Amino acid sequence: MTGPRAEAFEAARLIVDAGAVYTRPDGDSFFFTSGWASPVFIDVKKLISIPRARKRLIELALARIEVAFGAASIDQIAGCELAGVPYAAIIADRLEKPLVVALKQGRGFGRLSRFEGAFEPGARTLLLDDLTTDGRTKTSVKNALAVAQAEVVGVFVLFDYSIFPTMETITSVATLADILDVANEDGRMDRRDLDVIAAFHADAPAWSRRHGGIGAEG
Amino acid sequence: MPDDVSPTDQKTLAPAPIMTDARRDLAADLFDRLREMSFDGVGISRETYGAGETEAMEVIAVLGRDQGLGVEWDPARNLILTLPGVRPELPAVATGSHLDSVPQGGNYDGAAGVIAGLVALLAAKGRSQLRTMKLYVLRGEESAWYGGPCYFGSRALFGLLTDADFRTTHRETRETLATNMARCGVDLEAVAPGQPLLDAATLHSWVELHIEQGPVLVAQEKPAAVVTGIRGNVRHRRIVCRGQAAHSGAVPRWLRHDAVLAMAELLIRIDEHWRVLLEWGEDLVVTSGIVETNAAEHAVSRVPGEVSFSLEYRSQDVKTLRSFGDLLRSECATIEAKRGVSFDLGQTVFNEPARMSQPLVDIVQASAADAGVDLEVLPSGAGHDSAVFANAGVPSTMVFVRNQNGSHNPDEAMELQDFLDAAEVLGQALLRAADMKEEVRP
Repeated sequence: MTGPRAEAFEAARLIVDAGAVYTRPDGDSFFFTSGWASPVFIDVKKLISIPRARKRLIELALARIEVAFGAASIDQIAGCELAGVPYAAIIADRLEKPLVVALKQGRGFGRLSRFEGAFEPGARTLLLDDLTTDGRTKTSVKNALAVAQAEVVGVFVLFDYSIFPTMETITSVATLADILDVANEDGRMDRRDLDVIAAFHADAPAWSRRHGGIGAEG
Repeated sequence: MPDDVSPTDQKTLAPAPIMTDARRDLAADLFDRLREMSFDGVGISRETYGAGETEAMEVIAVLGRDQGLGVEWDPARNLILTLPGVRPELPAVATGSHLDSVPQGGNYDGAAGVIAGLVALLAAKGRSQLRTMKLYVLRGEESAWYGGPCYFGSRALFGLLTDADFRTTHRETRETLATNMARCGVDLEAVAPGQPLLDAATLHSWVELHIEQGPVLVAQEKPAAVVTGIRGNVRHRRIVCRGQAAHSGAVPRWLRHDAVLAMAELLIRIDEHWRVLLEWGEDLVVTSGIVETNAAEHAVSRVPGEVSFSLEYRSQDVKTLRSFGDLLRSECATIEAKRGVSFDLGQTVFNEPARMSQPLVDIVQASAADAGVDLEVLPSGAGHDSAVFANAGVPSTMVFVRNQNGSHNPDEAMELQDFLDAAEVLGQALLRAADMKEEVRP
């Protein structure tokens, strides 16, 4: 396997090996901020604390960014508060690009009230975060970037569940499907857990609704 | 199922239905009568230990007496209807619910369980089941009238009322619960703290029918559910945050001790903790339903020196409740230090979460299968008297009925057919339990 699939598979393995995949097939589901119920929770933040895995994940991300956008077409990286910031900082440093931090909520007023750091209108910006569920946070930050007169090149995350209805086009290193592939191959994850996650993956809105979360109509 | 063999050996065919046409008409008529009696112009109001509650209970008492059931008012003025079994010395099978309502509530919260239980006892008449069957029409289940504490009737059964309960005051009249209990004829000495009216060991099982107060059955398109557990809760009726009143124009931000901003910061912090705990799969709901600045001194141009607010949080897990309480206190301390205010958490009421009896859940499921009712399996988000029975050691479970538009409001909308299905399941389950020779596990 070569190309993006091999990279995705390797990234998924890093996430699984870091113990960042939590499953709960029975009992109370995990509830994401937007109200989705899920039997699986991926804590990509965990990899911040594992230097070797972090380093490799960043390399995979850089390769993916180069293919998807091309570093030459990016003026700056905007990292999303909070977990997007360390990854954005390292990637901006590796690409020798300016970095700004996109805040969840504005402070005060003005063009840049949702940002730490500063940039000129028209700056071609890659929005970067650790993960996305249904992309609502990304939509909110994109609106803030529009107010700040930035030009959004793309939305990039290390991990995308890639199962929820979303208004955003998201580029990611790995998805839940990749995690499932890795777990299936390793045989380390409990068979029942895998079946539940596969059922969730097949129709996340229906699964969420059945388990007390929001459904497709939100 | 060997337990299912009737002592009279006549029951080789499918069990006789609980819900005959006559009993359906009786149930429908009772709902209508209760609505008529308790309609306040907007919704249904039957106060905890109030005249409307007594009046509704008397309707059930008269009906029970006319039908030949044993009728008894206990010292807490709960109403108990009894149908003796072949072996009355065995622990009895019990059902029931409450007849008080929230102010401007709906017609089915509580009443559905009382009516379903009554119908089950009437259906069992002349059937000579092994165990005695009892219907408890309970007092004072709702917390709305006395600002937090609740389940007074069921807690009185097990000697669980506290001195603070008796002193707690009515939301409007400010009379104490003890005053209104006495007015309803309660023997205050008999229901004193630590004095049970009922030995939990004399009950074989407790199954309560109640409308579902959440939206799950509507979403799942199922008429009824069996309940696996009940959320407990912690309630602070009145937390007071004290800062320092000041002129709203003259005092700069860094010299202020604004009680309202301190409260707002606390609530936002709590909301953030809640969000993260859900992400980690904890069961938790948090509500601040009352917020008040002092009307005698508050003003648009005055930095508020004091604000009071209620706080309630619920979980199925007692550990989550404890940890969240610790979190609340630590956030208060942080904000106190940062803003120069103080938080007085005031009286704390704790209602333990409850686990339902798995053997009873199985019996309810088997009864539903026989009756052809498609049953959901659910934990209960709302609290119920059943939690008191379960925590007292009585093997317990509940049957929920689908209900549109939520509960604790005048728009509760239970379809009669759903009630009939659920009451059939309740009745059949009670009959099965009443014919069991052995006891069940809590």
